Amino acid sequence: MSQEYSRDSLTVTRRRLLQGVTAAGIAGAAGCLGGDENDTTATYTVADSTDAESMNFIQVSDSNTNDRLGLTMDGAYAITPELDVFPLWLDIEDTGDATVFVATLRDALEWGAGYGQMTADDWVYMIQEVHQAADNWALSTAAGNWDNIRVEATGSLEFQIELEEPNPDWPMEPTLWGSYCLPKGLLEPYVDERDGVGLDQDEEIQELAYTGNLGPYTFERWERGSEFVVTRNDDYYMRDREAEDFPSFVTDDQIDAWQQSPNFDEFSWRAIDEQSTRLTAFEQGEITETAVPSSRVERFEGDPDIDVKQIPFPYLRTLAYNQRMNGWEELRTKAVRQALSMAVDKTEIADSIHRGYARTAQTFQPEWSEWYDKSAVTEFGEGDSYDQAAARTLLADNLSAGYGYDDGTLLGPDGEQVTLTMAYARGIETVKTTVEFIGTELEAIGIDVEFDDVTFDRLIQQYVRNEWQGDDDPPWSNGPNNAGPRDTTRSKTDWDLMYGNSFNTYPRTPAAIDAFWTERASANYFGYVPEADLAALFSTVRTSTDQQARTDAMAEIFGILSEDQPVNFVVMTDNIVGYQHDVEGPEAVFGQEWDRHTWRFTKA
Amino acid sequence: MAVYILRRITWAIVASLIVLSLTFLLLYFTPDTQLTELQFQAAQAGNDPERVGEAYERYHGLDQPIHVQYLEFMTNMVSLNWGWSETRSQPVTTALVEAIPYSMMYAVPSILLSTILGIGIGLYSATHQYTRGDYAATAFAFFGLSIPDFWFAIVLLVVFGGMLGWVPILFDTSVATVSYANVTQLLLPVTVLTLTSVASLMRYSRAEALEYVEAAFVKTAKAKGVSDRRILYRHIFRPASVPLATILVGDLVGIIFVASYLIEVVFGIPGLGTLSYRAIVNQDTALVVGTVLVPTFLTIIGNLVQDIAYTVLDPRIDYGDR
Repeated sequence: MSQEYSRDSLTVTRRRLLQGVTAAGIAGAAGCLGGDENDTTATYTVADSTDAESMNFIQVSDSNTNDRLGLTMDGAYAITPELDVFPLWLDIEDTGDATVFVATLRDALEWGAGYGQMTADDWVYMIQEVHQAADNWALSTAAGNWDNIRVEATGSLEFQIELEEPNPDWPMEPTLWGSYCLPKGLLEPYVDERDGVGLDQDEEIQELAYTGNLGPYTFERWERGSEFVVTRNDDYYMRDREAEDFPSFVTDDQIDAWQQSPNFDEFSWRAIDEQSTRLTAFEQGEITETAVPSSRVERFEGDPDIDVKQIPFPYLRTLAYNQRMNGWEELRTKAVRQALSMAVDKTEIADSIHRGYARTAQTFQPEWSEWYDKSAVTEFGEGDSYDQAAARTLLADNLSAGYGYDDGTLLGPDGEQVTLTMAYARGIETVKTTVEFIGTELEAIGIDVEFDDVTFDRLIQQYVRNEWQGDDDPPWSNGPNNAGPRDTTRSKTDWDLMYGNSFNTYPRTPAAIDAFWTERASANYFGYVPEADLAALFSTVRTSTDQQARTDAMAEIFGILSEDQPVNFVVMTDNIVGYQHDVEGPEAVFGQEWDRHTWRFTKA
Repeated sequence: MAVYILRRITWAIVASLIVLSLTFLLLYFTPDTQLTELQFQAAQAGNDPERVGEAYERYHGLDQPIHVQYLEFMTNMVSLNWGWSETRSQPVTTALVEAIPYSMMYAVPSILLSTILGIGIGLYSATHQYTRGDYAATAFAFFGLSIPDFWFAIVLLVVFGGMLGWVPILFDTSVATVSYANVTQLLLPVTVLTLTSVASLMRYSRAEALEYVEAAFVKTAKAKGVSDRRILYRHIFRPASVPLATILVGDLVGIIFVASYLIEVVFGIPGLGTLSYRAIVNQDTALVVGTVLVPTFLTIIGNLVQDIAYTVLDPRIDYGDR
């Protein structure tokens, strides 16, 4: 089967064959020829800069590791770009009130390492004893997701999930979606001992011995810091699925593709730190897929062997305005924030700095999201709303007494030019360029900008985290990033503007953004206090079963955010991914990897 | 001599304990960036960062008093239980043991080549001072010293891997150690590392040897009719090798643990350099400690070996009364 594939693999084979012939001459006489040089396997190789961290998915929160784990385990279910639920290990069904969901497992799911069939008991045990354990002994990264959720086995292959309040979006939230499970038999001894370290270091966990027929590939080896390799799993449960088992939205071709999956004999995930090495290897065909920085896309344009796809990505880069006690006090005035946002040309940032591989943003949601309502959004810094003259007027009209313009320079009450400090995390070329550009733009409205470039860790430690400054206990606190009311909390280092942090806008479950946009939100590190009751609107989105009411509430939230400008919503950068031309399957849409296991090389 | 060696070993142990204690204190008082990021992630997901922090501290034993943590740290270090690498999910010692062979694969040939070539060319330059050969060697040395090895490695990779296709671009860990494929993929790393280290060694050798080329005992030997080769090896190289030994030990540690950072990152070799680089970038504390302690201990041991080597190379040096 493998011989019918791939210019790529055949080229490699020919090269290896030549190497083998030469090697046989040189090394064969010494009796030291190593490895199978006559290799005809279809190998798909992905390369990125970071290796996996662990095979213990309970503690995993990074996408690099998840991508690798996903090769050996499908997870509960997938969500298609059209927002349909595609059942993998299980199907999830709303019983009608968006409060109780029933999960039904397939009956052909077999654990490896002799743990038998996957049952509802495994899931319930895992959720209750690991994710919902009061002391979080296993350091589960999903622990918070499972708070206040009741789980109960209602059959050997069926379990019920009961939420505290209705939530129609729950299947789309990353709680059960894409989640994995461990066999009860493997977990039990560690649960009894509350031994999280032991569980983490268990060989069956780290070598994925329990994955059985649960994924398209079987773990082969993990050369730390270099390569994660899996091989085709002929027992993959999806291969035995009948056509009628597939949801109605799946086409016949897709059904065929799933029944034949996976199409590669070997899948390798390489970690290569050095970008130029990675891209040169990609250009030479040694790598099948890799991310391409926007500054390097030109290199591959016109190359018939390579396709570069621009895939929408839901992360947004913000220019945060510090409204806490150690930020410029004028930033608490909405019109001042609007003026600053009005003075920065987002189109220039997207088109010139990101070379067109970014989209301008106006609120905390991408325009391609089905929740985005353009009519509700107030624009700043784009088209006609990029207006530095209007920005100066807005500032002059709304700044406190004592501020004013003198020959184009904005002077403070002390008679000196207003100087703002902009902090950013070093290391990303486009962030640095954007920061300098923003500095120039603000200079044009009379504001001087000083820069603090620090490491990301330091940015979080010294600038994002804040502490209560009062003598008594704070009236409320929501963790280290929002330690209390903005009048009495400050970060260790003073700052006014912060650029570069990139946050998920959750276009599938937008209510999740409430972590940022209410006064007490845990990620509201910039001290935003909305005039409108955003918390009530978020509650409507979360709990209402009336879709129109939810859509309206979300549109109102996005409208308020765009009007309030708690931060300047600058740009959303796309993922730019390069594929060898003979790869069939990838599409340039958000969530395109849901059917990665059906991708293939073009038949020769 | 034996007493001296014993004293030096005792000193080495004391130095190691001081290094370990300082390391512990630095770790204890440095903010835990992993925890900070974990809490920031939790906040963005709408989860309670305080709860995450408590669970993290309990899991890693950070809720224990400082003396308990210190005792556990020291016990683990002494018993070679150097902790668990959070970013590789394996014991730190295993990570080190797995990485060392990859570094050795290119470092050993490079050290051998640079030592032979460096000293050889240096001696030639010294004995042929201000000749064309000497100028050529000097030019070569300055080229090797001046060119940034990181940049040079990328250029070689693009030319010989990308444009000519003579060597693979990606380092393949699955090939046999003794195989043509492995030799091919190690060619460029060895070349780059050798070029950068041979240059400095050559200049040192030349300078040291020049001190003896015109020495009275060399002139006497020449007058007595001793052969050029014997003069070179016995009367110039031997006395010159005492200070060179110092440089060699430093170079050995330096090459393996400093230069290899850059070489390994460019060529994607999963050796000690990459291990250490990623440990620092990913804030893997246990692994950072491990990768720092190995060269520290090697330096301590290297200094000991170096002092003993002096007595072998130069019989006039005697530690009997120390």
